Amino acid sequence: MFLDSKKVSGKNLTYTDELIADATSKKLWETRAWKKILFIPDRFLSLNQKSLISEKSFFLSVDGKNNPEHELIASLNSFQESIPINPPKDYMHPQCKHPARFYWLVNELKIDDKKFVFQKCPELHKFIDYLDYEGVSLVFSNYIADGPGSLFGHTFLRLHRNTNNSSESAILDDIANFSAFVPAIKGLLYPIKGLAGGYQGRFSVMPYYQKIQEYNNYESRDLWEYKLNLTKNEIRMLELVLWEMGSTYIDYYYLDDNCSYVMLALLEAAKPDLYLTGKTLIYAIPSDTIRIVTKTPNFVTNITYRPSVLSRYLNRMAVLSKNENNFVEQVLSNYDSLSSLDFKNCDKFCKARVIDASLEYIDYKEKLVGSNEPIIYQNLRNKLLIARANDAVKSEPLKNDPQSSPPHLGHDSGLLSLNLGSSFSGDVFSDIRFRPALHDIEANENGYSNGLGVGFLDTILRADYKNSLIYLKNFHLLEITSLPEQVPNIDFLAWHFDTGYEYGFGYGDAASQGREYLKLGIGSALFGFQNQFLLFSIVEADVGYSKDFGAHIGPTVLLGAMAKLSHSCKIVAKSELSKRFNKDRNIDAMENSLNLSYFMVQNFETQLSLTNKEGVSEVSLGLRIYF
Amino acid sequence: MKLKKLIQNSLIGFVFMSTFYSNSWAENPFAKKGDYKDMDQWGMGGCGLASLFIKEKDMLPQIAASFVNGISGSTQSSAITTGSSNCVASRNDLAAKEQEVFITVNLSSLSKEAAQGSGDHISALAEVFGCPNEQFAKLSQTKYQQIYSQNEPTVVLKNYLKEVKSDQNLSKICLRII
Repeated sequence: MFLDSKKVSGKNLTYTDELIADATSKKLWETRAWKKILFIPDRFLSLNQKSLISEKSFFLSVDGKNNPEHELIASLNSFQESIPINPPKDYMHPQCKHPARFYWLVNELKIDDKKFVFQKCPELHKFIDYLDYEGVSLVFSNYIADGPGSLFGHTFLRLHRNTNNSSESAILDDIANFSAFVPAIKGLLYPIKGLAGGYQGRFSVMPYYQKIQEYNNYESRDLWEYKLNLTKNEIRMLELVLWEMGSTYIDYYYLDDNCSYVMLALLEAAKPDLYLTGKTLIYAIPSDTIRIVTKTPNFVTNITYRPSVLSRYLNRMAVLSKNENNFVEQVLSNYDSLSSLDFKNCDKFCKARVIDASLEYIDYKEKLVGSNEPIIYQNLRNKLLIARANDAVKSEPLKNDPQSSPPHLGHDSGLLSLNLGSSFSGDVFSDIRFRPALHDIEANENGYSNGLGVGFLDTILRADYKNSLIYLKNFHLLEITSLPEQVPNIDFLAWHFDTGYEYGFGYGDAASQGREYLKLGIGSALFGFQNQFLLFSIVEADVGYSKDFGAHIGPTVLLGAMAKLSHSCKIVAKSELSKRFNKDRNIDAMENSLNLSYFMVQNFETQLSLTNKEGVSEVSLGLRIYF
Repeated sequence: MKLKKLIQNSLIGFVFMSTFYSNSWAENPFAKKGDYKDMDQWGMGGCGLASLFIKEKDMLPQIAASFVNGISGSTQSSAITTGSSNCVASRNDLAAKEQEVFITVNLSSLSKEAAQGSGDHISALAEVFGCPNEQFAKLSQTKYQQIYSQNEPTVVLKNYLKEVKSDQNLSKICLRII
């Protein structure tokens, strides 16, 4: 027995040496596939070869994280090690623990199973047999009507099950998700840790229906699925990589090494001829990663849409007659007395439509998922369901019209713009603007929402040619505009948040002073003509500080109108009236603007602006480039 | 390196991280009501989705607290490395536990679609039971009151099994009615 194993391992050792010599002559560690299996991404403007994986035990050589060559040789060596006589409880042979790199090397070096001991990995094979996926989609969870924070989105992979009637069992598929593992009690360091990589990001595989419940029903976010062109072998590689990743972690950074970036790295590992990770800049915004994937030739084969509960409600409402609309209103205002309603002129099909719309409304309001019971509408929901079942009408299939165009059609998240302009008194200037993310209401809302804007680090520098001066005109550390459109029976609040710096904040001497400020306001928005037209008014509280004027506080009224003239042309008018008080005096401020945008292509827009600030009028023409 | 990253990231994103009420890139606790009553039975052996993905007893409070979203992180790592060790390879063998988990997670959608007589979730449940979709949806609608008598996943499962078994046609053709 002892002799046998010595003989076998002696033989393996020489064969391993042969393999290492072969790998060395081919310089296998320089191939893209090997680096991708080790999760070494392409970094924008960087040649640094460093794996994303943070856990040391993932690497078989001491410097494996930075050295693909050492890692490859150490892997080949460890693959021939024999199983210890008394293995520890969680022992797994390197061939079984790292099957992605093992099978890749087996293929590349044509490892001979007569000269090399292939270990049995029953756990792995059960896992792989269980998964046996036939397709992969990249899924993007879209924004919600009054949640600008969700504009950034989230991405994960849908793993299509091997099934004959795939359309019916879509929600029985699985998903692969990468996320930060945040403890239930987050603590004060939560934001710091998120930024500094204090949390472990891990992969998880779970049933798709869980994510559908979470995004579609709980958070009311639409899901967009981008079916990817992957061969069966590439999908198998993906499964093996997922297995390898299951036992390890990546330090999670919200801005760059986040869910979306790691998804790109995962796709590259499955299909190394993809170039995805190198196309993100410093930070990775999920909607950008969707555009990176869709711009890869022949990679996305199909796009499908899975409506959120709010979208389902809107679709159900859209088919109702005026009469049926009134019934929905009555049903919902009359908490639990369905039986007392007089459904005059409403046959069982009409009733079914009314009930279907009401049910989606209740599910939206109650964030109903799983076996949670509604709180306000508990009785009503039960009665509606029973009445609905008794009428035995089969629901008409939802029209599923998306409320917005798919996210890949949206402009990229970074903005660079150049405006040339002149004041009415003849002073010529140019404004240079840089904003890393994301979207404002003047921009083309294709792929975004009509009345949602999120901008951070929005910086405008002005070059004043008359005085040969460049100065900071505006800096919005963070600005959020939320103007959700009207939904029947649901009142969304419009709101605006803005904090930053501005040059010139009122009439008189304040016109040539800068100040830091914070504004927060609420109001309402009114949409018309199929959301092509919008009026809004927001009342804001404004606090600020200026070196000369000191701390001040005051109200601001923001009025605005937006009209979409055609699919490539939009006009926005805004008027802002403010008063700033401090202990000594008060300053008035007024700013009006009219902005005409023309959208040339996805990432190019031109703008003609007319502004009047504190009585000084200027006109400018500009070009916006998104990147 | 970490310091550089900290500075870089903090500069770019501190404000927007702390301002947004939720950060969708992280796994946030979800469904705080947490009344998924049978959740703590899920991980206990058996076969099926639940035992594949949810395994360790220690992780269960976390799962109960964060429901859908929380099934990640270290739960995952142990589940994925140990694989489906107590699971027979074929998906056809997933039975009772999978049915229970499926009903628990999807109950509100199921009750709605059952009353409506069609829908994605009811089709999926038909598949979980191994029943033909059309007939199963019809049964769900006609026997709605008997099946969804309580908002309790185990009771709903029991009622389904009873109704399918007593249906002359379905009792013969549904593949996974135990």
